[in-house]
Amino acid sequence: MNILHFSSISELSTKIKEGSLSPVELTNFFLERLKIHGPKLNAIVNILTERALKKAKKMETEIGKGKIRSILHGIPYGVKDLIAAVGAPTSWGAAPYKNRIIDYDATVVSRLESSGAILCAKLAMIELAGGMGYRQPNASFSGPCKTPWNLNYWSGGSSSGSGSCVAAGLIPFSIGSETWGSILSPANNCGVAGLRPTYGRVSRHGAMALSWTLDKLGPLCQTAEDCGLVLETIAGFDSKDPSTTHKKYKFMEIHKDFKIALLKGNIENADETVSKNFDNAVKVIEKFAIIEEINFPEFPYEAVTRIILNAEAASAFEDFIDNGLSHELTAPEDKYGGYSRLVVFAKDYLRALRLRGKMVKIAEEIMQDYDAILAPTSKRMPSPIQQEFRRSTRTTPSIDITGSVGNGAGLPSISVPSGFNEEGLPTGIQFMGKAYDENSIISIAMEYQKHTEWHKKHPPEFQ
Amino acid sequence: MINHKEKIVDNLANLIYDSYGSRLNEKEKEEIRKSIVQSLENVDKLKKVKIENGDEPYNIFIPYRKEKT
Repeated sequence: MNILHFSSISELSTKIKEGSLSPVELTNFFLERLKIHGPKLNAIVNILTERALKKAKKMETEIGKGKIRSILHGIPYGVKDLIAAVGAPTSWGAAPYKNRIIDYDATVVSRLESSGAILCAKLAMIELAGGMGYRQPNASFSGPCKTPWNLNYWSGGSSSGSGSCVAAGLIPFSIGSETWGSILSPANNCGVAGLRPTYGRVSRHGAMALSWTLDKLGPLCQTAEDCGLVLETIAGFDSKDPSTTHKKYKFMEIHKDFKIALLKGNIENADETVSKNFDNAVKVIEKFAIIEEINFPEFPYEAVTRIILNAEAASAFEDFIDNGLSHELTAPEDKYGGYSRLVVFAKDYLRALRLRGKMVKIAEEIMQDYDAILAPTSKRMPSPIQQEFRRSTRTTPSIDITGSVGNGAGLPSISVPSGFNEEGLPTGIQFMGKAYDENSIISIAMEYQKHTEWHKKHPPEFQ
Repeated sequence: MINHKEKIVDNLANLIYDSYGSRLNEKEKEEIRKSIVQSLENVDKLKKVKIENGDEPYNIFIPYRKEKT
């Protein structure tokens, strides 16, 4: 049974369809792993045993009647605890909301439920998805979430448990959210695949809002292919989320001669292992794609996205701050981090939104000849759980082009593991694509995974 | 000019301290002041890019009317 926990969705689904594995058996297996290993990682907020087993029995009965809803039929999953689901509180990772009940399923949960997937756990996250400007892993009432590769190091965030649980084989896939880095960071630090979809691709109804024009929901999985399978289920228009697109999404692997852009200077100031593993990844990718070096013109990319995020977060959490609830948060800097945003001028927010249009056009123009932009997912190795992680980036400032343009322009990106350092901690590479072209970047990542074995390595302590 | 900028920072910080100062210690007030400086530095970066009158915010407002069923 122990080979199950690192199986891909396709592998599990095949076993379920063949009848060699039942949804109840599989759900019990993962519930047990969540209970045993979750606390070691600070990765879980609540396990939904009752809900999960009820659904698993239903899925099993349907199989008995010859009904298979989708490839996710009978597959357990977890969601970041900013996504509402009946059966457990929705805490947003914040102590003041630890027991708060939101008594409906978010659209993303409803869609997964309809597809036959089985919700097993609400997963740990950075309080308010990092919306108060946290600077350390210990910024959640559930404690600092750990990467299963080394329990002294951080899982990344803010979708911390979503990355950690998948990497440790506690759940086959999870849903996280990203405003700026929150899916890709845990994918990087935990050595799993993480997909940030195009803005508007997945409904956020029922999910905490941090920044209405930047927030996205997306999957974290064992493989790039799994990300495509999950995205197909959760994507689509939702009248309850006006940002959602009417464009249909069907996951399809693309086979072609890919053309990939390499951002000039994108490993400047990077940690040594990040640079080394990135160079090795480039050599692999050159076997199946043409790589060309490009440069983005000078433009205040980070300032644009930062001001939009800060202004929208100030509005989203104004009542929270007014009521003094921020002082009940865990990280000291989160207690006061929201105040300065309350004095962002409306004219400056609007200027950022006006410049966003220019940024979108710059990105579109640069990317028109390419299927993806390749970059390290993070220039830094995972930081120790007791260390303030922004300290190192402050001493070696560099522009986060893929983060600021990618999120500011609403572009999709996928991160997959690209190697390890001597301490066994993972590194990641990301492929950022054109809007609504997730299939290209997923296909490139799949091709990379066909040429490498990094995604087949798993944390020794959780084998 | 430097004094003018300092004044803006002080005024914005005081807006926060007036409303919420009783909850904040001196170290926290200093951190908030630093964040305001950073935020205004970001605004300065935005102002270096020329924009025309017709450059609209990228968020498009769409008038809504419920469809008749």
